[in-house]
Amino acid sequence: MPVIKIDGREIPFEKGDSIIRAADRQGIEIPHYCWHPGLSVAANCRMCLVEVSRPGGRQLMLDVLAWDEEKKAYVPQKKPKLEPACQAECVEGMEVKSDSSPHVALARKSVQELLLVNHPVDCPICDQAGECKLQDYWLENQKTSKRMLDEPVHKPKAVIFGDTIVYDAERCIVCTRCVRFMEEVAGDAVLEKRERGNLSEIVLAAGRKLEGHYTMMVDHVCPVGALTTRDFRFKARVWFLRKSKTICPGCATGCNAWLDYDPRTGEVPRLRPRDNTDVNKYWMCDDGILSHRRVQQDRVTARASAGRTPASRSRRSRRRFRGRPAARRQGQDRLHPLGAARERGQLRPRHPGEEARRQGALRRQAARVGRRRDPARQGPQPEHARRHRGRG
Amino acid sequence: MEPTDYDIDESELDLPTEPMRLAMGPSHPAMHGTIRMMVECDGEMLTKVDVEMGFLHRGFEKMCERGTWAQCFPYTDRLNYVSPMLCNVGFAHAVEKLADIEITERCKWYRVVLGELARITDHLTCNAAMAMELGAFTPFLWMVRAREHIWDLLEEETGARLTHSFARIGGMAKPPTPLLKARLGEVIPAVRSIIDESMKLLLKNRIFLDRMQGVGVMSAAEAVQWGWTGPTLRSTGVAYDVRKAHPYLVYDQLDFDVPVGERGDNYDRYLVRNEEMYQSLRMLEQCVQKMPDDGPINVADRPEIVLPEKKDVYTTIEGTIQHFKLVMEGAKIPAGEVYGFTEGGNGELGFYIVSDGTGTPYRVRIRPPCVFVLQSFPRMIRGHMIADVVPTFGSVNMIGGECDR
Ligand code: SF4
Ligand code: FES
Repeated sequence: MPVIKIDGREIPFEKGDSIIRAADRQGIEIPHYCWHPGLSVAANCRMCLVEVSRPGGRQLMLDVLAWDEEKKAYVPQKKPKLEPACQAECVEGMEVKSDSSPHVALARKSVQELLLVNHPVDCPICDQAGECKLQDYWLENQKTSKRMLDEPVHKPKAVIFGDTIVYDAERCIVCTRCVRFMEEVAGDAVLEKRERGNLSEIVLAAGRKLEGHYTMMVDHVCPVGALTTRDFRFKARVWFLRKSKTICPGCATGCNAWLDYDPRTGEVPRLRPRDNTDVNKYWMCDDGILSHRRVQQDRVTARASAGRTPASRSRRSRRRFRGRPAARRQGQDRLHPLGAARERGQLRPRHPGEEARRQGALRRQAARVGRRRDPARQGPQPEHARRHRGRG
Repeated sequence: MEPTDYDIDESELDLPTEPMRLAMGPSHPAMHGTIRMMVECDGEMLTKVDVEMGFLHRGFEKMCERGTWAQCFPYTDRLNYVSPMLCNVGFAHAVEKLADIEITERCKWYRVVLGELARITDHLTCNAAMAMELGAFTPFLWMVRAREHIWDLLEEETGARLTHSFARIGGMAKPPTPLLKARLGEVIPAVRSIIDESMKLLLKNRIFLDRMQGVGVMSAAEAVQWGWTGPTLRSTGVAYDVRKAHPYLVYDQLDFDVPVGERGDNYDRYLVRNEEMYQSLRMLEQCVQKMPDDGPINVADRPEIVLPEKKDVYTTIEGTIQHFKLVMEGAKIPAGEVYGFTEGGNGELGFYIVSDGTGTPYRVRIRPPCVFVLQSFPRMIRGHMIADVVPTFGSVNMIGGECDR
């Protein structure tokens, strides 16, 4: 396999790979916002800029003015022209400097600063806080505070995009991942970008709303908190959740998923896709993402048998759960439909007893309806009712 | 004091006797900090003493592995709870050593000021309780009055009388109040005169002297072997003080003496602690002179470790992110391990900490100075009488929160 070098480390690549993809495969992260392994390359966020030199090629240098602390003046200097790692294609013998280049560090810092210039102070109320790329990259690459002290640009907040998704234009960094997802994967170009620069935002195509079977995925491709699902919005703070590997119980495709559950209450506020290129790639459909509701609805949580007081199943199981050693409790790597939930005995697939109970309930309901419909038991029916039935 | 009835042979019949076993504690007024001592006595004489510690187990070390580095500070308050500020500073010192943080000049002085105030309260409490346990209640109240002065000052500075949780990695929670120096100017003479008076109350008291002198003797060589540090070690004549031997903060810029005892008995321990209070007051006076009046308290160039200012948190996204990351995930202390040690109230207070590079300590191990003194207690008390357990135990200054942690 041909190789390139990133920060001195040899990285194999396949023909046609971009630098970021080759690195990603080896578990090396080059900071990025707009690149997504399952989408086309937009190269618009500029977070992934790296220093590239190709074998035999001359490195392109730019003339810049840099501040010289000693001379107290701007002096002319040269700096290499950086390239987006998400777009630059690997060629044999290429040498890439990522974390080891001061120019790259400065570029990341500046890009990050620009992205935050108009960002609202939303972390405390934003569902993305805790898994937000803006937060992570600020700490890794910027670490300084704002230099622009003007009032930030204000844009629409909490825009309803459809039955499932809410959009916040102020938080959006306009990476267009959501636009590309709808166009390329869902095949319905209902999102588009309008305006330029500071004023740009994502809008719906005229007269449309975000609908179909793949709307909730836009929440998961969004690297920041701009798109949120109405299902998960304000339901939980992600740092209180633990995750467990699971398979979506929705259909026979068996999409790989993460089950995020709250260890304190045993609730499962969301299911989200887990990458598996052989099955579901990076995606999941809305029904699947929402299947966490179905699994939790209408479960038997209290025991009621003759002569006993009902004991809360959930409280009992929680108590049992609490005594377990931490390593098992986290149980993050267990592979089972509804993973850790099964271990807690609360969210396992329906128990035969539960099915029996439902059937019983159904039977009773049918019997009640039957009784109501049986004219012999109900006496003479009013005239209009009889006419109505006759017509139907 | 010689037992008077020891040699009296009342009967010719020499009845075989069994040693009497007596449990002192764990809930005994003199066994402060919940300690149990199984003593075996022959009459009033102790033949064997077995010290059992661990009744106050709080799981300090394990708890530290659950939260962030900053969340350990409230736990350290509850180690040596008569001088919590010294434990705060000791833990911050260790973490800063691991993260290679050089704190600001003003912060160093501030930590010395608060730390020495805490040391005085520590020694005051120990000496006062020791006298009280011998029946001298007035000196206790007298010294506690001095402690009130200091606690009031600490409360003004930190917001809490006892559990300050005031140190931070890379600085302090708040800068000094503008009144600090003026208040120190009032408190130092007040405390000094009270200590003077309390010494007058005790040092001419025959009972006090008889009960203290020659009781609980420990030789210097043995004390070192047992791992003693702090005032108890110094009472045996070994002048080891972390502040002098391995100066940290600004102790190398301060002029102070290390008092030592001669015999290593209860009386010497009492005197060494008394003298150390005078030395601390001396240091405080120098701090009033030398401590800078302005300048930053927290290091400015480590945003990944030090919390941003509140005004930035509420108005800028960068401040919010920094705050969020530090509070929710904790400051990422570089992977490695370090032993950081300072002079605590009872001696060398060490923290052996291991970081795996995450926001949560991988392991925090404390070296509580009083464990080493307490473990040699049976050796100190052997051959004395039951009643001597009380003042000797008092002079050890065993603090449950720190010893059993
Ligand atoms: S909404 Fe999210 S995914 Fe879409 S452009 Fe904005 S930041 Fe990118
Ligand atoms: S990832 Fe956005 S430009 Fe490369």
